[in-house]
Amino acid sequence: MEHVTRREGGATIVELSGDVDVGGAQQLRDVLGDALTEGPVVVDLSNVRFIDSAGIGLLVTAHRRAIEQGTTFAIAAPSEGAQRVLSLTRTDRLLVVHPTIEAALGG
Amino acid sequence: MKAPAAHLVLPSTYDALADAREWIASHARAAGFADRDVLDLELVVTEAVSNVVRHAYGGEPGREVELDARTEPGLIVLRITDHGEPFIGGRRVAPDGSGGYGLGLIAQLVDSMTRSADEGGNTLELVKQRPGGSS
Repeated sequence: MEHVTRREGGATIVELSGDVDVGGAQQLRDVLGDALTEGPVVVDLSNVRFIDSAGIGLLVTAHRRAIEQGTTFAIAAPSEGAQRVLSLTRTDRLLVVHPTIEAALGG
Repeated sequence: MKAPAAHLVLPSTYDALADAREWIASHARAAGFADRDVLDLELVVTEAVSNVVRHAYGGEPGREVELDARTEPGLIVLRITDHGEPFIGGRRVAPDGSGGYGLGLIAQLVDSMTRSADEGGNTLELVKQRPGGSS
């Protein structure tokens, strides 16, 4: 898993790529935790080839934390592989998922 | 396409998950599974091996996770064997009750799931049929 974090449109955009699995869980937990201290977060999943249940679990944890902190946490542009796992775990109904980064920043 | 080795032994670390995915993907492609089903099998093997590393071995490195794959016309049989803590009451329970989506995901993605435990170890056997028939 690789990640790039940038600020855009008043939000922190975390772009993940490659395979997101439990082996990168600590790294992902830190990246999302740091991003949430800055306010609204958008996680770009367009370049994620694969994500497992641990990765999905961390997205759900970040979503809950954002609500507690009174900020927002959204998923943007999930790849086919990422969308598949969001659907299988039904977390696409729990998380805020936008089709594009632009939609996530505008919403 | 040359078939990959039907038996693979991995160390009990999360670093081995990428190797497990690559291995099952090459088997599934050789058996004619479509991309989406290959990805599903990658998810299945990732969740199953993660469970072994975390629950059967309690995160202890240096143990072995054995994978076996067998393809028949229209289906693939995947076996994951460990020599750690056996299943408790038919399922593994984490000491802290954590986890959650993993086993449910596996159950959703395979056509049958059988657990067994004997002196040879704990084995999870998973069968996935190839959508579109047995040709």
